[in-house]
Amino acid sequence: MGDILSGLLALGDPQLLLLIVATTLAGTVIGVLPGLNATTGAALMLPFTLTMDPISATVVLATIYGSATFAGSITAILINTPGTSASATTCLDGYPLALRGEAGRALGVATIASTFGGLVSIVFLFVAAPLMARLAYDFGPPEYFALTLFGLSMLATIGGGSAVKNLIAGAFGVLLATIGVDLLTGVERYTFGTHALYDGIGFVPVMIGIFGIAELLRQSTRLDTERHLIAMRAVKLPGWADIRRIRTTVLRSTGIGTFIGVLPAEGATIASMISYNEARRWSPNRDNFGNGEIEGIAASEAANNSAIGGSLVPTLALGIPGSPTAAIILAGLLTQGLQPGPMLFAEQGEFLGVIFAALLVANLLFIAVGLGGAPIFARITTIPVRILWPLVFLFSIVGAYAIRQSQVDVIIALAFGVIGHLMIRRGFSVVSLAIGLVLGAMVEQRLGQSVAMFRGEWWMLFTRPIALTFFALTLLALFGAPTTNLIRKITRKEIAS
Amino acid sequence: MRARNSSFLPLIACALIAGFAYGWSYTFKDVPPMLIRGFQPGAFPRLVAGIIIALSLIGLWQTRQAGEERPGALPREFHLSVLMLGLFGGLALIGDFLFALMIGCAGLAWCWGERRPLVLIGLGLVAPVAVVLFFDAAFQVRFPRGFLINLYYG
Repeated sequence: MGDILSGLLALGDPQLLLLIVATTLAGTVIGVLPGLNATTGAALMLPFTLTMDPISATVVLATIYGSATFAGSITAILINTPGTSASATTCLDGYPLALRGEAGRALGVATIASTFGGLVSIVFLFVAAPLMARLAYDFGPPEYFALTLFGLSMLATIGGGSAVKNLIAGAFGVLLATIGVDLLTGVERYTFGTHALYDGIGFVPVMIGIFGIAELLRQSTRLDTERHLIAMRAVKLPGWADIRRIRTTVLRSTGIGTFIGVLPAEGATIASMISYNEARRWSPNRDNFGNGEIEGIAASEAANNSAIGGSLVPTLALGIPGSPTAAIILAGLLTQGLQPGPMLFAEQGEFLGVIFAALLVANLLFIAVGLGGAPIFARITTIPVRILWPLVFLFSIVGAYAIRQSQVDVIIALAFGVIGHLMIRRGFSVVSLAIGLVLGAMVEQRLGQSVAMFRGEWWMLFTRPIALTFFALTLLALFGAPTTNLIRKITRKEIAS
Repeated sequence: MRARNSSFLPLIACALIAGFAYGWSYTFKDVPPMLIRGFQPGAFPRLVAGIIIALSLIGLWQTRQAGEERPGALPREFHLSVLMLGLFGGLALIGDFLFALMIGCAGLAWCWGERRPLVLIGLGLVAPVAVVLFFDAAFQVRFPRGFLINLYYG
């Protein structure tokens, strides 16, 4: 509690407070711009944060994450285009409600549900992250290796694509992380003999490539998309009748969102989809879902914002990203020289207090942004993509160059832009590639330490109870769904015969 | 649904790249056993490349069983954008970084249908110069020398 109080006191620094306000506004702009989302926004902001101190850098990335996710609802409701994929389910009821002339009411519900979900998940983050970190005190290299492997196995369930393709993309990320000089032995690996690759492939150019440049190429295939902005006078706070109607849904969705967020690699998009389905299942107004039901908006928005705090729990406590954007925040922490885990909580308590306090303030700012600024921010969506995306290209390239002031990083960003686009087109997840790249070095290092610890007898890994539990969870993540499907298939065949 | 030959190509490419990485890993130097902390430098990349090859084979089997929809053709603007990225990369490496940014920004807008001269000048001249000056002044980023950057650095 002392840490969060000192964190709140640190917010008395006008510079930090101004940074939070500016980043909340920037995140909102990113969230409403077509094609840009929290992950792309964080990837584009990453180069800027490297010139800041660790506290400001993490505050910027975490605030962008929250505000861009929240802002996705504005375009979902007003132009039927989710600003971020996490708001895709908000379109289903938000836009029909807007078409009926109730855009203000829809945005009011979205704002309240988002803020409530965000605040609850930050309180959860504040309580759960130190507890999880304390558990990690019992972790040695074998447990960390098993945990990281479990995190990677969860890539199989990212998005709706093929599990095998997601895993291949993740494994390629891990393979990319082996490029450069091996830190333990000093041996060069896959460097092509060039000095530029001695330090390995940087996170930032790859992230900029697969999230920024790849999206630019995707936008080039959708130039004929038309967007019609619905006129709106003002955002209305929901009345008591609306609040009574949505309160159970908001509570349930906040719980679901926070839980999904904690799971490695699962993010706000999955949380909002599950919450929407659950809200429809439990609602007495289920037939109205898809036709402008406010419970649908509340479910989607409470879940996607609560997933943010949830996803930061394993990121900060264990160094396992809880979502794609959390992977970028983790990359930012690592680049700043901070190693997430128990020691971060033991040694950097005040640092974490500031992060929690900043997220609380940012969430409260959503009310002001949602109620006062939504109609203005919605106008940003009318900027033509042929002007917007060349500017994104400019910032992406200069950002990729600025980190190490290396032209090789620019070429890496361009190459991964094209590779990323091809991957998306062929059903491979770029998020898996990013998470594999961030976790790759950790997996190798922890496996190496474990093997050294057991003097080469690697099977001793399976004699440690915590590690064994994570290995079992890994097997469940990889083979649980296919095995269930197979059993169902066999049972159906037997019944039919 | 029958699988088209093109559905197999990405997975075959993955297996080939991983196979190449697997083979290359045998060229890494081995360290004396006394100095090893864990395993040899080539062991982990070999393990990962092996996993990718195995997964690609499973993917090929799955594609053969279930088939896969072929993605639609890409529009002209996409190909022009890729060409523009290539042109930018080439100009940045052999020409001038700022000039490459100017051509890249204005070129992309042109490829996507922007024809208004003022907008093209804004994107191709004002924006790149402003961003380069901003990064130089605010973040002390030094850009690679070239005929335009030299005008600024002297």
